[in-house]
Amino acid sequence: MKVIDVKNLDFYYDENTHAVDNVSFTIEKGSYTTIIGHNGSGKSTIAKLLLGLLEKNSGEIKINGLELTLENLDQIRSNVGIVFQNPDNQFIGATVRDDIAFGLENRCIEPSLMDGIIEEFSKKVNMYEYLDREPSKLSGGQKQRVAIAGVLAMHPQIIIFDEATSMLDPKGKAEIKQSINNLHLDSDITILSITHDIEEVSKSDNVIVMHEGKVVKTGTPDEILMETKTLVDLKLDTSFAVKTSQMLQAKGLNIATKIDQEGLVAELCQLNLKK
Amino acid sequence: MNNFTLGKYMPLDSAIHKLDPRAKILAMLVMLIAIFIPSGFEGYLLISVVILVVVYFSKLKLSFLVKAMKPMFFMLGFLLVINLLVIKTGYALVTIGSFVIYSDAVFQTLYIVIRLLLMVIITTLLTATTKPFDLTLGLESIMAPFKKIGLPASEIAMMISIALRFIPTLIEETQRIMQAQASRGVDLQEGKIKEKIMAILSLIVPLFVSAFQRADDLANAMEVKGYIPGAKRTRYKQLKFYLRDYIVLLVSNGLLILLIVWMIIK
Amino acid sequence: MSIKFEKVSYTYSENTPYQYQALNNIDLEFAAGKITAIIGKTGSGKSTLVQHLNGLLLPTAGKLQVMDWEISADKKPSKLKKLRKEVGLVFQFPEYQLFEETILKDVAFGPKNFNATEKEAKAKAKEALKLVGIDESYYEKSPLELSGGQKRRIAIAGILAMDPKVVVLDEPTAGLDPQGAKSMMELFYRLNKEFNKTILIVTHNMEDVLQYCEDVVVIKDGSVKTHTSVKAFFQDTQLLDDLEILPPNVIRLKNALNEQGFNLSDEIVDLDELTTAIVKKVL
Repeated sequence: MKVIDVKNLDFYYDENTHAVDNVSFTIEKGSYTTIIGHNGSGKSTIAKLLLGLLEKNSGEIKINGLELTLENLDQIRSNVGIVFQNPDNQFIGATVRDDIAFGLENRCIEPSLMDGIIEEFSKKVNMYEYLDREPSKLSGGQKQRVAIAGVLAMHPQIIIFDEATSMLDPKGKAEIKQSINNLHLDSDITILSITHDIEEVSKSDNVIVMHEGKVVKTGTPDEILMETKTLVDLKLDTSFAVKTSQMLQAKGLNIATKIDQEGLVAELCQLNLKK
Repeated sequence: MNNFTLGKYMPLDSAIHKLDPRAKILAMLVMLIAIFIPSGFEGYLLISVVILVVVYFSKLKLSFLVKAMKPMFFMLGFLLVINLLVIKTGYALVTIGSFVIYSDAVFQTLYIVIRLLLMVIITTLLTATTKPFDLTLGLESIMAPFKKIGLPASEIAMMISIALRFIPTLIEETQRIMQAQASRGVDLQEGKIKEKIMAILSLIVPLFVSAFQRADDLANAMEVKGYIPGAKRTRYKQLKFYLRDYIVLLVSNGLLILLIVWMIIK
Repeated sequence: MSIKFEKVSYTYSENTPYQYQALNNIDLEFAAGKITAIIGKTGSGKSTLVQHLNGLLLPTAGKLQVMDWEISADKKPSKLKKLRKEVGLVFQFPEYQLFEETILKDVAFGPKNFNATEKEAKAKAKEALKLVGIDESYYEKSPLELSGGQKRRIAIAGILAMDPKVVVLDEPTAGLDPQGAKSMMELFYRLNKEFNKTILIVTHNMEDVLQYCEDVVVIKDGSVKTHTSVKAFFQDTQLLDDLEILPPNVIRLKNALNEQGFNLSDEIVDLDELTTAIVKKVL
């Protein structure tokens, strides 16, 4: 089932900036899709359009079969959650507790139920011990986890991660990548992740490649990551495993191209045993 | 930044800390009015005793309160000198050489000093025993009846809460920008006027730019979480009046009435 | 022309209840003319260390020698002003420090603060902008009109325009896309090889450390844990484990294969060498 259906989407920031150029794509329920592209390729703009934060110039956006209009924004937003890039600029509450409560307050959840919900979702992201902590005393990774808890507490069907790890240190990045992965494995929430991280791309189900406002390629991680030359031309990172596989092939080794390190190691071990 | 006493919250576990912020705000307002009732020496004695009792229960250190009052001392000393020189009514209290100190000068200054110091103590009591966020909640609740005449109480409270939440973040950011510009040779101590202006601009412009960006991001974040200004929303933190809060209101209002009666009788 | 720390300690908010010791008796010497990576977890003291290099912070104990300047607790800040010209410090997300009306003016701001004339400052600014790859057509534009990556390059140009002998960068590639990150690192490489500048980079990116840096300093809990060559650092698997550092892909692959009995040489740190060695082993 298509949870997101975008057709011929067009958006201009101003007459000189054609940020989104005739973009079309579909997302299946429960899938984990990554969107990659150089900075300025339109990725974040699409995220904002999907949430109605920007108004499209033309084209169609359907979420769960419902076309996104100014009238039904609230309804759409109750089904789609988003975690933005800057951990500070989406942390509204005075404490972790208050921040998770914010969304619940907006949806008029019964106050007596809030404590239970906050407890449940803070535990899901391992922030239960920090419920009364202020944001100035939290790391970037912790703040992002709180953002995720806040989004999950509203039971969305779709969650968009807009470069949610870009501003984090390695520890924070690892925490959030793990959270996203767990989310995919433990629930049927549809995940759309805008990222530069090739490792994350290799773990997703589908990849959408953007370049200068257009969708230039879509496919499975295997398909996308193998095309090293295209990725380089599009100014994107290549997968180390793919690069290595290709180098080994060039040096005369008969090996299949693998997109991640585990696969590569396994292949090489097999070849070594055969010897 | 951490030594800013006036207005700072002191996380202690006292009876006063536990009171409902609304009770405290209303009691404070009543006491402020009471201070300005001209109830004479006995009246001020009574008010001072009541306030000292509250201070005792708040577990705040006297040294903390003295620190809060410090900024006033210089001004009050100055006031005393002016009054001694200017006010020549009442009876002569002390004569030093050819200079006479009159009773009115002394007593009027005394009353002003006491009023101001009591004001500082009362407001410090409020801010030191109430978390900023709870204070905002209390204010919102008190302002709520005025929504009927168009006061956007909840929105104002939301704005204050967010501003409070970002104070530490903004302080950090200011420090960072200062360091970055210092690394480019900005020196606020030296330089001609023009250079000093550039130096200040190099701090203010980035702060503003970043503040606008932040506001933009925050607005988006709030919007996607379903926040609509003016729309109905429930509140996680519920304020509830207990017996102790009613007692506080009773005592403060009782005191005010007593003082008014006393003033009329006199 | 080096930088030498002698028993440097730094305590924040000394003598208050918020006292915190960020640096603990640091003994450290940075060789001139090299590219050194400074590694450490968030909160390890790296930023505090780095702020001593241009006198933003004075040690609470000990002293450091930065080129001609001796810096200790009682040094008058006014004497250190010129130091800031010789040691250029670029903070994280430097694009936030842009403020002037035009890009050229912003980059010229640094030199002007060090008594360059209007003409000299503009000339230096143009040179610096050329170095970072911003061309003439941008000179009169507002710095706020540009993309994040461009703004960052302009901010860095603002420091380079002062022509510092030492350039210290705090996570210069944070938040950039892979292409942006690559051109940024290549710029620093060039500054070192072509212009002989000493480069110190605080970073978490082990790929960059392997590819571009010569030496590594590891800061842990306010002390220097290690100061060694990049090669030796990445060969020390135990140390990397201790520090919870994820090694660069090349090293990880090599280690993973060695765990399966491949017996690849410790010396290998380069993908080309690694692939050649693997082929040899397997065929």
